Amino acid sequence: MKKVLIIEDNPDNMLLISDILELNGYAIIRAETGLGGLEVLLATRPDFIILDIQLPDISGFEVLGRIRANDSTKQIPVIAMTSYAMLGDKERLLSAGLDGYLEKPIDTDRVMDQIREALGVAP
Amino acid sequence: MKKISLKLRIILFVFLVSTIPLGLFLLISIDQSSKAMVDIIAKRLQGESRLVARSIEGFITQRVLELQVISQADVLEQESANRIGRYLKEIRKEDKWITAFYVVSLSGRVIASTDENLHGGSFFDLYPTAKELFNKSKEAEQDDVFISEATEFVDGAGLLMMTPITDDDNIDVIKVLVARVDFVGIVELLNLLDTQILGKNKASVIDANGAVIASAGDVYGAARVSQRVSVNPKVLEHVFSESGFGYLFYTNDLGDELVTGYAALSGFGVNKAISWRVIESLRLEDVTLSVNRVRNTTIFVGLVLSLFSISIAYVFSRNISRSLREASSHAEQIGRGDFSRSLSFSLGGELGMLATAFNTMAARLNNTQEMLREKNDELVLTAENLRDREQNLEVTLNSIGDAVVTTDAHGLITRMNPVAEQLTGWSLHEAKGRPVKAVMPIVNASTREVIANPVEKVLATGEVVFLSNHTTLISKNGNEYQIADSAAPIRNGNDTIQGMVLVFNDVTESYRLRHEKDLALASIRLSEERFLLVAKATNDVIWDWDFVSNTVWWNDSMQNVFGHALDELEPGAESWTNRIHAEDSQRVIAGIHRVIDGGGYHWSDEYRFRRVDGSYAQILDRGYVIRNAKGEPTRMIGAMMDVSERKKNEKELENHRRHLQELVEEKTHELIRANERLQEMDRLKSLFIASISHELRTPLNSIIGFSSIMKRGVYGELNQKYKDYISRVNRSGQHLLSLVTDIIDISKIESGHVEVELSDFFIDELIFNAVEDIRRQAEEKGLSLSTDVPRGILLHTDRTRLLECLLNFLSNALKYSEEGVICVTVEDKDPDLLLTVSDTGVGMSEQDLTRLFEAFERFESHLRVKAGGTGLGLYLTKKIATELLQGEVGARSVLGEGSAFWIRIPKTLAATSETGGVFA
Repeated sequence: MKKVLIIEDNPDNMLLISDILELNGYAIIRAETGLGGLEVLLATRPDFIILDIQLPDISGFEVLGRIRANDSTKQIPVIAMTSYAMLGDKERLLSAGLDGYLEKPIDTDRVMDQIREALGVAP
Repeated sequence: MKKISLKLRIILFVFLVSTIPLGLFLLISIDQSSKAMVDIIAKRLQGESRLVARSIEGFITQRVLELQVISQADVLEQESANRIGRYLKEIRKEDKWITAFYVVSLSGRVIASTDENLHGGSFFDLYPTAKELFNKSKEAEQDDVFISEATEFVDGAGLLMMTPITDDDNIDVIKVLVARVDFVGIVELLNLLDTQILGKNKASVIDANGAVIASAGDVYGAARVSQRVSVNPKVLEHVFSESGFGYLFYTNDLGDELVTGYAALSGFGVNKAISWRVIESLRLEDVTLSVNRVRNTTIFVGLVLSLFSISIAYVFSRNISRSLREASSHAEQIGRGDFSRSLSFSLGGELGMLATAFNTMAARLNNTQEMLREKNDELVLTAENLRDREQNLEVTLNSIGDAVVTTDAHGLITRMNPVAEQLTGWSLHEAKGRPVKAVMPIVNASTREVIANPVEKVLATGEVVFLSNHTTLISKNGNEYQIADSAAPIRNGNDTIQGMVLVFNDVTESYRLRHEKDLALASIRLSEERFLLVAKATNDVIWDWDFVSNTVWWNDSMQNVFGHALDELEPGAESWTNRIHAEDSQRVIAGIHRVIDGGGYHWSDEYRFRRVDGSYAQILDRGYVIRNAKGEPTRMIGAMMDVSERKKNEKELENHRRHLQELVEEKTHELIRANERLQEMDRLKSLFIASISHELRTPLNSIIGFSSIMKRGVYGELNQKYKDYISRVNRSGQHLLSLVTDIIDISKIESGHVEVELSDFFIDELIFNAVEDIRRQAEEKGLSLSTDVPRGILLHTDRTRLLECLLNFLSNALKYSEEGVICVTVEDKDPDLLLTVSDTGVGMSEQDLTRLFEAFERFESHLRVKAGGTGLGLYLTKKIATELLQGEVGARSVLGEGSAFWIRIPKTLAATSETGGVFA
């Protein structure tokens, strides 16, 4: 079973995305802060990470930077989850090295396709 | 013999002065203009080449800059091919002239590309010739960009541009970023610049080997470098021997003469790779062809003209010689004394024949002249006698002081002396032969009735007649004179009346003097009366100061205004001086004496004057000095006006004014402060709305997300009622989301936090995509879609925003139409573009139309409930169209028949400086 690390501070959002992923057969690892997420990351080695950009302690960009800086984790795909919806945001997220992003509020019908596309897996 | 020679001479002359110079002039001027034309064309070709060269430089420079920026994206330093590939694809969308991006490892493997099929492959398999440049790029520093020579690819031709990707510290090169730019872009650019002259030439870009890299109008311009047409070696040598621009003339192998303008392109990249020239050629024949056409027409017209003038000359010369012959024969007849025929004489040259004929005639005329001279001498003697007598009479009449007019027996004027001329205003010359009453109309001085002229009476009765004293003569120029006159008949030897003499003189002056004296007396009486009345009636205190007796007369106002009883006043000037305020007294008295003693007439002053109760009144006093013939002052009259009340009012008025001004200033300050507060609040409001809307998206994530999972019954089937409820929750959530999205957009525009993103695109492509987007929805409703869009209109504006407006119109049309057609029309209204979306839906009333583009104004209709929507769509569209795209929107509609919404925007949007940061 594939493992997903979800770093998200809002419990509702956490419940929603983790339920959807669970329904699709993923094992979920949860973290509510950026630092907490980095900690479990090293211990659990998930297949990919879903990362909220607005976190209470350090920003999602910072979390991403640290994931990429570590040789043992830099290959793990990271998908951002954000309510940024401004012009140029998409480009900015991709140029920071994210593999994809989900826009809040997420579209429950399409979210799995979006994740597969970001991971480069055929749907 | 002579006749023929004259004709010939005239024709020859015409030929010499007109035809030959005309021909020469035409030949020279055509030659000159042809040369000038070629010169202009050559300069023009040179200029066009420079323009094209600068444009291509701009084209390449832009890509160099892009590459420098892109090479610094963090993602490129990472190793995930997918991530890099996704980023490359995203930025590739921004620039259609970059065919592909590659991120290549130092060993030459393609790490990532815009084409993911190439990931992991060898870069040099794709581009074998790029090796040398690639090795240079590995050694280079950040921001160095290398550019290849024109390169032929497997699938086209173009340039490769390379720049190193460095590590975190920007020192070590870890990868190389490569961009491939195909020549299709340069061909497109050449087509856009439209360099045609005389519909013939086209611009080409050539390299140092003489291969044509790109050429305007070359549809398949990107095919193969090696297959290109090669350039004439003469041209090649010339244009590459210089590094600037210019033009040259040469003859090609086919023997055509050509002119070519050229301009050099500067080298690009650190390796200064590109050594290209832009050339534009034109066959001289094409230039001279049009000039030659003009020359042929001109020569033909010239020939016709000179033939015409020679024919005219021929006819003209024949007429002249014929006239001359006739003239000479007539002159002979006159010489013989035969005057029965008159002679019509024309210009001519053959005068020899005429000379003898006129000699004969002169002899006969001489006799007649002798006889006439004798008769004339007799007449002169008689006239002199008469003139002497006339002069005697003239002198007499002229020296008389009275006016004298004589007439004939019919009363018509025969003579007037100068005095009469002056009084009547008529000169003798004008008046002679006219009736007396016309020349000297007379009227009664007081009644203005016309008086019968004495002339008729004199002529009828033969008596002497005198006129009354009250007679006025009206002269020709309108002057009037009082006259006294008499008239007497003139009799000849037979005692019959043969005329009349009228004598009169001007008594105007004496009459006027007498009349004026009467008037003056009456006027003085009136003035005295008036003065006394005024003195009684006025509120002013009037005084009359006699200097000779030093007495002062005051009117009643002295008592009424100041309370001083007239009989208690001192008799002299003391009555005044004693009552002036002590502080004013010296100044006022000195002032009045300055006027009196200084020869002045007018005096005025303001001072305080004591009332009987001891208080003081504020006085304005004005006086007038009366002087005798020698200029000595004899008397002074004046009036004192009590201005105490007025003074007080003026002061109060001034106070009011000052107070008012202070109030206005205070209010203005308040308004400015209020306005500043308002502006700040407006800014805060927009910020607030933007951030609250942003925050709203997070809870909406739960509402929409959970409700849609629930709706599907993933964790167990819901009963029908719950299913209905949760569907409603979900729908409301979606509605709220679109509201929030619209509000964010509006507040971003209102707070100026929007960047307009300019790009070039074709309108037909945009509309095609938009229509495809809604096609499924339209078909589900049974609506058909049609478009009427001219192809190839290029826009330079914000594509995303325009698409947003169009989609909004389309979704409205979908919402409010139940059947029929939705039609998208585009019209080119240079410099604008008009885009219209019309439908056959419910339409709306005039009233609805006016409120249509306001916020939350969804119009009333029976479809409203079904329609949904936020009520902000058209408001947002208007904001985008007017504030971002610098255009306008509008709608027209007929209730029950359908609506049409239009947007009109400039095809090219000028970049504005007003761009806030991206709001996040």
